[in-house]
Amino acid sequence: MSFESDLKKFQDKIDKALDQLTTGDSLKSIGAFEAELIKRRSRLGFGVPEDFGPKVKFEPLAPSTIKARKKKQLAAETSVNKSNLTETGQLLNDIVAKIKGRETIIGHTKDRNKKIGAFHQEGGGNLPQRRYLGLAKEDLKQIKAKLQDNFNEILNKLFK
Amino acid sequence: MATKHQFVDVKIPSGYSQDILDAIGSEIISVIRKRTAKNLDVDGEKFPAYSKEYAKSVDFKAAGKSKGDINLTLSGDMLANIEMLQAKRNTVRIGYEKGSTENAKADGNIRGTYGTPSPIKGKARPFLGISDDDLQKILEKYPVDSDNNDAELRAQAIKIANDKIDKRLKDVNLNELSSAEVDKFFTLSIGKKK
Repeated sequence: MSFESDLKKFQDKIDKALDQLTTGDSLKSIGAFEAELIKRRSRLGFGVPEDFGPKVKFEPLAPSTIKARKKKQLAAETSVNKSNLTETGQLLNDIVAKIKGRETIIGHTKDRNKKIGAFHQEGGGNLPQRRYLGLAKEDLKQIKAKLQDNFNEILNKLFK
Repeated sequence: MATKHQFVDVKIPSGYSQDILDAIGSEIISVIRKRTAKNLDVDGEKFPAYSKEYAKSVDFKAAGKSKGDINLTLSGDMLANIEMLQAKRNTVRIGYEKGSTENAKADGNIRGTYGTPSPIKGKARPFLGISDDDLQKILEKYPVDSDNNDAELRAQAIKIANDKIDKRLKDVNLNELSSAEVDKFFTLSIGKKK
């Protein structure tokens, strides 16, 4: 059989593999991965620029904030001086992924966090902007690696 | 001691097309990532434990790491940045961009230096590379002397998938944020749209 006719027959299998990559459990796992990626990057103290460029360190905390944090019970994922959008942990813990068709939708579930999230995302007044919602260049690279690994796995199952 | 450029040259049989070499490289990288996620080094040995100081650090907790899961993942950038640096004739070179931040992190793990001038005894975590057995499993998917086109077809599948993944990731759609609240902030669609 010629390579061309083999390829045509094979195309159905490739389409099936790609289809599996972007539906069902695979897409769910990608959505969950994206949500965790954003939480982890933010907790490590990095935000995103507006143009999918490299991640950027969050603005440091104001001296008054540091002073106030000394009297608070902080979550284990932060410290008095660490600027990582974490005090109790509620804001970042609330980031979740939903699946709609072939899309992953990442966002908050609680009204409180939607509002606080918007303040940080946009900044204003005395609050410096700390953009955490979105994807940095490094995030996209991690998602790409995850997709490639998932695809290789699907291929292994399809072509035993 | 200066950071070393970290890469491995994987020898494979000659006679493969460029597309197949690229596909084999991609599969080797996946094997490295998956094996590392299982806390295993190139030879299938468990990685040495994290130090007590590191396990107590805020970053360790911030990244959601656990002491018993030595998966070499803090931000996740180091493993995501393994690249195929070169593929020609019978060699596939896998590693890091020279001088990059991720190369420095990989070097610290592989030699066990972690920012110190010389390796810390018992702390090397050699994750970059592939065992003969694992390589053989990949090569079996790409038969050289075969009557069928399995090797070329599988390579094409990976090429097409990688192209589509690249294309889709360029189309990431960030929804407009409302000034009052963040409802959903972005969607990512991958694969063909129906």
